[in-house]
Amino acid sequence: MRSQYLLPHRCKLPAMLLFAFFFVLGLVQLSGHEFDYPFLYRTVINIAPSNLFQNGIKPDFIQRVNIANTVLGVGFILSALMLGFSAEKHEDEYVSGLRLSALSWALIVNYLLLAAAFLLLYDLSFLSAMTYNLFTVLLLFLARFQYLLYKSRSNLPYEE
Amino acid sequence: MKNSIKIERAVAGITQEELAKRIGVSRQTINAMESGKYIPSTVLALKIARVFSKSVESVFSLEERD
Repeated sequence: MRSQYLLPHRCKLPAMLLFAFFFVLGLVQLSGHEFDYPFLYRTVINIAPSNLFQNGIKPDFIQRVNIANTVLGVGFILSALMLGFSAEKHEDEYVSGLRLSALSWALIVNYLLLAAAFLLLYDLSFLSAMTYNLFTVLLLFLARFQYLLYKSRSNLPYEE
Repeated sequence: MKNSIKIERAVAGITQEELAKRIGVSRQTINAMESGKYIPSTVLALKIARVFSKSVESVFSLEERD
């Protein structure tokens, strides 16, 4: 049975390297360090600028901004998807089952965490928790999937 | 659902690895099925039965709670 939406196994290693790179830089950025270099200031298209509905003002669809967030966010999301959805070395229906189960586990845990954040955090603390929450579903999925794979391998009895 | 893959394998004298190769899955999958942690798809059940030249029902059977 063929699993769908999977990249070939050879994508796994590059995905791991890219993911590690964006994960570390993303953490640095989220912890408050700003990547502020001249080459990061680029002209971008903002499809919904903040002055879109103000009377008499021409909306700023074209803006010059620091694209560090853009690069790190897109890089993290694409590399995490690539990592979670590259075929394993022995990809079969059992591995697809583990992947699906990790996905549903991650979705449930992620939204329980978000519900807890709604209840326990307010103002700016809530906003910063929301920022982390954008990425936690992917992180939880990857961690759970790797754990399930590891567990299924470590349960293997010795065979001559 | 329970299965007699382990017994059939012993009778046929093949290892988990060999069975895995013949039906195109990993050894983990065979192990998970033998220990009752994974219920295979119909396609896989048919392939396993074919390796042992048996009917699916003689390798796989329902349990009380199914």
